[in-house]
Amino acid sequence: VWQIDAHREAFLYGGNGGDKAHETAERCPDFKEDCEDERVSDTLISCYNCRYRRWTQASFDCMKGKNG
Amino acid sequence: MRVLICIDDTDNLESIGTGEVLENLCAALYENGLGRGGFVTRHQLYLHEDIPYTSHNSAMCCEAEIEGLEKALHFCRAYMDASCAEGSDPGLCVVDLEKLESHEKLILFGVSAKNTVLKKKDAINTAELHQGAVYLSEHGGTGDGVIGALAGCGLRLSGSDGKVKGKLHPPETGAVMTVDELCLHCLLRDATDVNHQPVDPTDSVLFSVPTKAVFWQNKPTVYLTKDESGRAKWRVFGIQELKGLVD
Repeated sequence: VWQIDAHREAFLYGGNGGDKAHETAERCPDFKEDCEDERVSDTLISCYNCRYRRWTQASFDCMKGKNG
Repeated sequence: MRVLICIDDTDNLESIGTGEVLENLCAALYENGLGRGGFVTRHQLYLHEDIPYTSHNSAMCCEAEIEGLEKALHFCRAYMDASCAEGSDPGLCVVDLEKLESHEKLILFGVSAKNTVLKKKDAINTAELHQGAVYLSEHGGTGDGVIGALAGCGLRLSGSDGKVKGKLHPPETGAVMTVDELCLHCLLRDATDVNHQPVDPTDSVLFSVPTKAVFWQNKPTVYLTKDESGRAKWRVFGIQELKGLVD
């Protein structure tokens, strides 16, 4: 699900990984809903709706534990 | 007098979002008899690794009717100083719409902030072209939020960018109504198809999932698409579908 290097943890499926984003968020103890206006998935428990994701041009990075 | 108020980079990963900060600021302006803010629009800016945004790089803007510029400006600045999150780089932009002679350069700045890495100096230089009409201020950290704050004003001035803050909910699951009834229920002035073509106000619409209004031609507008289920002529877009259509 993730491409991990020393500085980044990037979601591999970009904007087309709804199921993976949901499954990952369901298993994640740190999932935290972002404010309503920044949620983009109709499935509430999804990395796409998580406060700790940082959008990039191609996908998003998980920022939990990076500077959060 | 009418002004635009736009803020950016007020949050960190644990704080309330920038949109909520702006709504709270407007509520405080009202409670203090200084003015009344209208609906808030969210404007997506460039996603680029060289830009130090928290998570989505968006600016939040609203139009407000204020009693006096100096008092309101002082209040907004003090509110920003007191309310922004630790580690954020907040910026505030207030545009006096009655003094602003030309919209063009602000709109260009806003549009360029959607696809270019801009510097704080670019924002300051653009604001200085509109002295007496554009008031840009930093409120902590690097102050880089002035870039998004100015860009958000430009994009709001363009009349057609971004989404309106807040979700629109159907009155009941699977509700079918006319376009007119949809607009009335959501307090909207317009609903169009995604190509911005008008639809017949008496046409039926399936409103089964929450949606958001987009900011189009200076109006909160709901996008409709053909309903394939046969229950209505049109249906509203879900929020997830909208992400592919509007920033």
